[in-house]
Amino acid sequence: MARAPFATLLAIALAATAAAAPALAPAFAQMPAIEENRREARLLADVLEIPREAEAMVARARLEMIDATMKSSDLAEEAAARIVDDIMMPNFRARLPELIAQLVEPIAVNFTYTDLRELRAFYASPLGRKLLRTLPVAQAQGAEAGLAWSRQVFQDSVDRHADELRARGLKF
Amino acid sequence: MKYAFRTAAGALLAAGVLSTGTAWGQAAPAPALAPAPAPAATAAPASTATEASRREARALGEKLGWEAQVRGIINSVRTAVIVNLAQANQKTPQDMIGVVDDLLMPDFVGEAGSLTETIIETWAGAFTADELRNLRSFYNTPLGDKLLRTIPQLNVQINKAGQVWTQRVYQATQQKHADEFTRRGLKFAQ
Repeated sequence: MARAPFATLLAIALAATAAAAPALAPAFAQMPAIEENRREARLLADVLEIPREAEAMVARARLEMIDATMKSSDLAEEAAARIVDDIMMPNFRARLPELIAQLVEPIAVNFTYTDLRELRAFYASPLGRKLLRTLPVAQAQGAEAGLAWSRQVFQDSVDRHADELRARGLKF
Repeated sequence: MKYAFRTAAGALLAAGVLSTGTAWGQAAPAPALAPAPAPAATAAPASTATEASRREARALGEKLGWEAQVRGIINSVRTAVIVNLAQANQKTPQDMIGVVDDLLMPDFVGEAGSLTETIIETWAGAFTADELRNLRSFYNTPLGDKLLRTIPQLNVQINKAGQVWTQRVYQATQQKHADEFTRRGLKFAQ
């Protein structure tokens, strides 16, 4: 079931490469281009710390498996964790490189080789590195600010329209 | 078992990282329906923003579409308010649409600018005016523009790739160790 989307993406990428290639270029020359893209995308992924993100994904999957095992087998958390760690996780960890490759694939197929090189150069520059450092903090602050804002506006709005809301039979 | 594991935030990975700001507003903030004091949300240190950096952050925000993202947040809030009010009042969400749209949403729309300003202030404090100008220059290049256009589909593809892989490895592991699970008297979650 996993193959279809990637086959499709690959087909799209190959078609795009074909469209961009010089008219006389042999069709088989497209395959190395995809491989080059993958190599370059992997280098970009390292700059973007995608391997670390993949590990975090597996860690989240582990927690969900522990939870599911507790529920399905009526076990305490410690026992469920031991089973997941003994039986399930070795396979997940062994296949981590496969996950990283799958996460990198969309990057490889959506950008040209030159794009990928330029993106890596940008993210490796002092400004790019600062952006990568700052973004998680900015995202967290943005999410927090958005939550605080919506609470505040909601409360102000409810206070302002309290009579009308009560008249419509609503309670809070 | 269906492992729709939560990559929404995590699978920003490339996306969030690449997007440099499209994650603003990706997570819809849930409004507090019970009267609650406003939390000390952004315990922000004294801002180092300058007028120049604010100007540049605003210009960058126009390029990155922060206003549209704030509208997205408001839409998510609208849905959350409708659902929560319906639950609190034992009514259907349909019953709540009118009151929410008539009374509450105009206030959210009216305050949208203040949330955009908060985002601008954060960026203006985090980067210098020169850095913000250089970021905008990058996003104005054909590659930067392509990056911004590609991020949404990249997000979806990467998220799906993570889910599909987890599901596949889970099933493979399940088959491989079925006997061991049975021997231990355990069941796999389906």
